[in-house]
Amino acid sequence: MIILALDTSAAASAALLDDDIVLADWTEFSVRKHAEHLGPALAELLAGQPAPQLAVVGVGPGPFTGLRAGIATAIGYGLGRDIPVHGLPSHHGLALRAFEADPTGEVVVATDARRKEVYWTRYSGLDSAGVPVVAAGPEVSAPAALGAQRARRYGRGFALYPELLGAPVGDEPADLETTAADLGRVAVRMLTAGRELLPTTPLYLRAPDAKPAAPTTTSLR
Amino acid sequence: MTATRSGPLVLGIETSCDETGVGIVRGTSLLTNTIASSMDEHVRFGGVVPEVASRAHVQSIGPAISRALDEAEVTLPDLDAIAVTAGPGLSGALMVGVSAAKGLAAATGKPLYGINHLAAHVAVDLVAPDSPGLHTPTIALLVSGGHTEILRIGDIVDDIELLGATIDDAAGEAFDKTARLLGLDYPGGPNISRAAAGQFDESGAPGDPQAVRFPRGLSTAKDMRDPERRYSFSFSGLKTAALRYVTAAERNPGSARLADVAASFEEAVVDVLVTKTLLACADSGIGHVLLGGGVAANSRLRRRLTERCQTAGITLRIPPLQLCTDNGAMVAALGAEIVRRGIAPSPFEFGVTSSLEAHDVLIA
Repeated sequence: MIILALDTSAAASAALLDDDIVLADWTEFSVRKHAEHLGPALAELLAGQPAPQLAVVGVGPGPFTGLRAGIATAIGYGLGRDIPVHGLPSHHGLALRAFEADPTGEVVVATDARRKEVYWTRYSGLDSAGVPVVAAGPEVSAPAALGAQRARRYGRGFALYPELLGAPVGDEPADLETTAADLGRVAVRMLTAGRELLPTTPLYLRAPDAKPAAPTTTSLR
Repeated sequence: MTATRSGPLVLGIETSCDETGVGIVRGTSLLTNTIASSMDEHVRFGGVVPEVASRAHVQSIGPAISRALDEAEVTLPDLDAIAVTAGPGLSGALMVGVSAAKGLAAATGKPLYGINHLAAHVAVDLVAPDSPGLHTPTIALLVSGGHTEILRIGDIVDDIELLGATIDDAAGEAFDKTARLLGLDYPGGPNISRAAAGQFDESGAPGDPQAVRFPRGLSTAKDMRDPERRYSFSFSGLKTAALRYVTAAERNPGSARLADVAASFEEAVVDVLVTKTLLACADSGIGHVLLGGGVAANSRLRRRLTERCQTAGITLRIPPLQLCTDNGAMVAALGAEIVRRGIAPSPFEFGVTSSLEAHDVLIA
């Protein structure tokens, strides 16, 4: 099956997969302007390629505006091609990469949540279908509250707070930010095993930054 | 569905504030105008919270596009182009619409036009079912929770000039903030109107709009001589004056009626909006006014504008209310006009511009 994968939880990234073979991929790491980059990249990536039959998108956690850019692009693309669009946790991509490098032991993925916090997910290994198994998370925490991690560490969060969390295992950009190619391969494994993917609702983990207005009254009648 | 008129078939997407709007037009025929509003979610915050609006957009955008296509009985391959609001507006909210539009365009290969929200508010009259078409030149008064602008429109694509805008709160925002002060819920405009009509004190007696002489912002002789201020608005002083008045009145129970305060506040806002709009007409020699934006729902504004345009011999056009509030049809309408003129699409890498200027009608 031909699958289009997108993720804008940290990098802006798109990949086209034929089952677990990556036909084409594009990633811009540490990007700020997802909407500007993803649309044109998508058109270029797909030119001359077989048409996707399904789209998957990372639903975070990640900074909201960029995250929604990828999700909305996937929704628009899915409508435009009349194909289904599913979500999956963005951390799964980094977890797959980690377990492919070393299948033993635990992995913790921690990514930048801004405001001096990290989004993190703990994984215990790959299941029989080769899908990362979540042991805890995803959650958002202050680095000091999460503390030093003895498991293998993937994600930008460890590069940002090495003293508090421990340094990342690898410093390749793809060890720090999820790519659509890695995430797409997780999706293929889940689909092959008949697992349900998620809806495209973002994993925000934080409430909107607004306080309900205190009710006011007046004695005027 | 009216297929009597022909022209480019364009789908328009609008997500600049709290309405997820998708409209489809064929030339000057409006086929559908689908709106999902997150207004109810903002009530407990007393105003539009950008993050709340953005969250609602990403949930609503897909279903809104599907519903619009169904209602218009068209399919995506039928489209000639896609248009989307690129600004001005809330950047996180705009990003959802622009991203969805880019996904659609990448999938269908349709040309994509990033267009200006303010121009679209005016262009909507190209497709209003009760309109003979857009009258130009015109002075446009756009008033909503996010906007308070006077524009001179020579041509809807090539010649738009911002004459004046608010230097602080938008008029709708002033209504919201003063409504809160008066213990009234968001959205403030309709609730202040109800209070002014005497609906909240069980008397049913309308308030006296002359009971309290609230200040008219940027309306002194000196302001009027200053070209930078002549058509500009300020509502923060009015809001403060209302606060002072209410605080004082509360100390003397029975000294003021809620209905009078609400009516006087509404009158102050409306008076300055109408006065400066008529001034723009007189200065420019343009004898036509178009009203747009959500505050067009305010009946006092409609009444005063109608009266004073009549007196001045100026023709006034107020599109149907569902086309005055933010909607996708206005975006599609402007898109269709741009396509009709054979203008090239926006470069595909365009982004959102939260402070896009009025004269930048199309991202080129």
